[in-house]
Amino acid sequence: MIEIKELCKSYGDKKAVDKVSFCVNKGEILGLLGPNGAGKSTTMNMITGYISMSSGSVSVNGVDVLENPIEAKKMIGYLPEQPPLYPDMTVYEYLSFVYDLKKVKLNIPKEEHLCDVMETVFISDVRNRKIKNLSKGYKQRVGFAQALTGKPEVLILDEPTVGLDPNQIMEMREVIKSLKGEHTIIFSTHILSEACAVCDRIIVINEGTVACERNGEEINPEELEKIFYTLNVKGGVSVESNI
Amino acid sequence: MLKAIFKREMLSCFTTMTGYVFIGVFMFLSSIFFSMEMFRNRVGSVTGILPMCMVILMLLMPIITMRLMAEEKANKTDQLLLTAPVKVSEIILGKFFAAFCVFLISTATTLFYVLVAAIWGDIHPGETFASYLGYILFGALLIAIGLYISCLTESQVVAAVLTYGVTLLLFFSSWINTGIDFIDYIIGFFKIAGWNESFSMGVIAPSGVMYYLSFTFLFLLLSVRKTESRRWR
Repeated sequence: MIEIKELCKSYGDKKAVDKVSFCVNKGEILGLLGPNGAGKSTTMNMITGYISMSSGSVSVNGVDVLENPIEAKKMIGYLPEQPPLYPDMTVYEYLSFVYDLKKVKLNIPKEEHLCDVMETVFISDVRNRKIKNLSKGYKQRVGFAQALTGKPEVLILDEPTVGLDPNQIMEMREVIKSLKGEHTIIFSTHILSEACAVCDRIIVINEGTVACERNGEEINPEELEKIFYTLNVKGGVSVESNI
Repeated sequence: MLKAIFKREMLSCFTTMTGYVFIGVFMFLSSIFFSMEMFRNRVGSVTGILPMCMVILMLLMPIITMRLMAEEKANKTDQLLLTAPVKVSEIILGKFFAAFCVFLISTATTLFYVLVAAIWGDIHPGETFASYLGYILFGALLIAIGLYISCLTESQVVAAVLTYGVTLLLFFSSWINTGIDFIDYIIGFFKIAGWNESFSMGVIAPSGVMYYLSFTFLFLLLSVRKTESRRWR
């Protein structure tokens, strides 16, 4: 479904993403796990066509994101780290705008589709409220609804649970899991337990490269934790041996 | 999609105070000029007022144009636009036409003065039409310049100040006369108000029309290129 080959992105001398390659199968939830600044958001921005790659390629359903961006973008719903919301619009006005912007063509009427999307992420009760008056949790969900608008085959979710309270995090995880099969999902997080709870497969990204890749049953949190922790010890061999 | 972006911009203009402030202040200032011209100078036409309205436009236009792209970048909503299945040219044109529409609404308010002048003054339809055409082309160019400057920065204040600087410089370049033919010829291309003089006299000069249309197109093209270049950095 999604094929990423040798993806690189450099900012001057700094390599933000360095030869990242992976595939995502149809209906799968793939987790991109890594600390802040690892290159997760940059990778996602390249998949969605927001920024270009220095080298490498991304194809969605066989459509190259650079060669045919319009066709590729039609298949992608994207929730960036900071939801792209217009504070002066109501929730319904905003989703209606997104529907028109994406040139959505579905078998069901626009109103019905937008109601379905709002019910999926539990925001029907605030449909007529201005976005600027919503809580952080609701804003995040409106951003998620924006990504779901038009039933895109692929969902790219960049840290969708950041800033939510524990209950909202659980709700959001359940929503993402409920979309499995219907959508192919790439989901980024820096919380290991979250990736383990939601994803079929995890790719660990560290310092712009793929550090390891594990399938669902192979995911071992203890092993993954080792990738991120480096202990620096001051002193001689005797100090080190005492630890 | 161009229509979707146009609708959102119009909605944004009139749900915030921007559109009302622009049109309200324009009406207030233009009415003062009209009253002075009509009652103090006893001039019964609108062709003398439109050049004054151009000065008002230069002072007010950044209110509309400064936020067009700068606000999108500051709020990160450009991520929504640039990852949607739309061309960058559609985004830019949608925004341009929305600002142009607000400008046309403000222009339409001056038709009241035409009506008053037609009843109590002496209106020449051809001259009035040419004056309005020149004024509208001038407004379109100002919007294109403002839109391009808004593409250069994330700060609306910086966009507004730069737009003031550039448009005032272009406007007052009419006063520059070096006496060196070649340099004056080059400066002549930047005299955005100077190209409007023939319209005010009732002459629709093809060179003037081409000047405004081509420079408007140039700044729109630069806006598209600037927005596209962002993803290559």
